[in-house]
Amino acid sequence: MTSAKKLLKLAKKWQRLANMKRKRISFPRATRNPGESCNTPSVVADKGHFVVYTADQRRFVLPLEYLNKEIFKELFRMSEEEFGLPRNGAITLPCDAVSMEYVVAMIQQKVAKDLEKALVMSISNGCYSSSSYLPPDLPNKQILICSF
Amino acid sequence: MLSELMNFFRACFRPRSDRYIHTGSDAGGRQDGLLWYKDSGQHLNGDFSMAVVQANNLLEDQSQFESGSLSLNETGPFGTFIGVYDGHGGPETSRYVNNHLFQHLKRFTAEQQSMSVDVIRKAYQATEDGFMSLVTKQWPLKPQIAAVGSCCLVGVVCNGTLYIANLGDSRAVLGRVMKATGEVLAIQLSAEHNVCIESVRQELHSLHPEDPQIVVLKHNVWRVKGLIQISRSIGDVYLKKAEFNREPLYAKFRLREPFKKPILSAEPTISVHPLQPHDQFIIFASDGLWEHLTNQEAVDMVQNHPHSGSARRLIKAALQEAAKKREMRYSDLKKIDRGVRRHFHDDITVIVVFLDSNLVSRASSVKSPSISVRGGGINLPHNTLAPLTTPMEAGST
Repeated sequence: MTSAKKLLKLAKKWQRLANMKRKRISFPRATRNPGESCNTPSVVADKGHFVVYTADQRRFVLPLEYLNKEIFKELFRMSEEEFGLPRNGAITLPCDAVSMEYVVAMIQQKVAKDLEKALVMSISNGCYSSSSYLPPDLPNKQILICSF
Repeated sequence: MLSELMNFFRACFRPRSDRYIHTGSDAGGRQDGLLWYKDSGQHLNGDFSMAVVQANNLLEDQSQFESGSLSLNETGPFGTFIGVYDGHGGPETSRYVNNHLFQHLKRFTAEQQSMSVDVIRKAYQATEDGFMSLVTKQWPLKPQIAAVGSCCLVGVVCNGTLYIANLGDSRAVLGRVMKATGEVLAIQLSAEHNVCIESVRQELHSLHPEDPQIVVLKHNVWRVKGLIQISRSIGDVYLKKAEFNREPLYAKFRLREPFKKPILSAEPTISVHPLQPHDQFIIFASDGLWEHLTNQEAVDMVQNHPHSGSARRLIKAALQEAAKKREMRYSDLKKIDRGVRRHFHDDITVIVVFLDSNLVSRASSVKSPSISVRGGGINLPHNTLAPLTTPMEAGST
């Protein structure tokens, strides 16, 4: 069984890895308020891609395959908890652009499942402050172990 | 301690189960990916077109189209019944309504030997009571069923009269041709119970004068008790009986203060419309369609194209609009798998009922072959609550 110490080590390794990779990642940018009406003409993503905005309103154009990654499924779930389902605008995920770059770097590196789980935990801890997302039978103190 | 946490995440990341794909319950429809459709069929009063697109992991929209006897008796009265049931929190309530409401309606029609507003009201009440009993029975093992509910839109065409009953925010829109211009006018027939409408918020405030927090703005959207956008539904018993608003229901559904009277109602708004010769068709659809198309856009689209495939065409138009809002291509939107797809659009059900004035005016005693079609979708093999039970799924089913 994975120990807390091992998990922490994995997460640190991943952070190092992401930092190294980060400098080389670039994304198409467009300034746009995610809450604004869709009536304004917007750039449609390239074929095979979807668009998400981070909480700090950076626009990310990402390959459709990313939607099958557990980390994205988790981010979408968190987005629903945080902002509700999108109605008239684009999708906003409840993390900042730096975290999103980490996530993208991680997927590009094809990191191991354990590391992916550690990342899920670090993001859900960092972006989502309320514990109501977790099942009620899980004591709050358990969340502290992943606050690195 | 840590292992529990890891188990929680493992439970979140359950494997895909697409290999268990099977198609909708009744014959006649076709499944193409997440789209189910029956482009054309005949009913007592004309023809019809039906389509459903799935976005949720388990389809929460359920629907049925029935034509023939509206009574348990073979002697009728005869007519057409349309039901669109948009579930939330899981598919249990909408499935229950799909399996019981029409049977109740037939029973009351037989008792009263005619179709009436009273028959429809009683059928809704019996369905709500039946689901409440089911929740009472399942509560000890499956408490989350208390937080599952469904909108319920029904249309009945019988004896030249159209009855429309509604709970929630699905919508029925009539297309009526204007004699002078030949243009088709969109007439909304159903009342809606969504608190985004000011009069619905006012109604709640007047029903609950002691609670200034009965409706609150959350995520920029009005919600009853900060939880739900509709004020009337089948199910959602956690907001109807205080005995179901307690542990082990998830904390996010539990209210801080106990309530004495139901917060949500199951009393449908029912209207009666004598059909006129220039009433061409009625579009019944869940809110998934109406969040992307206006009543007039939908009616124009039906009027300006062949009857066959009307429902599918409306869904395509709504998905194209959804893709535009999400800043992506329609062809890419269609590739997104169910589950995560709910972030791009909702489940959408559309039934277009065309009215042939010669057939509509015919007496309701004329016998005709009966038709029964259920809207299809892709479902998991087992009856799970999704997405509510995700963290506890290992212990359920």
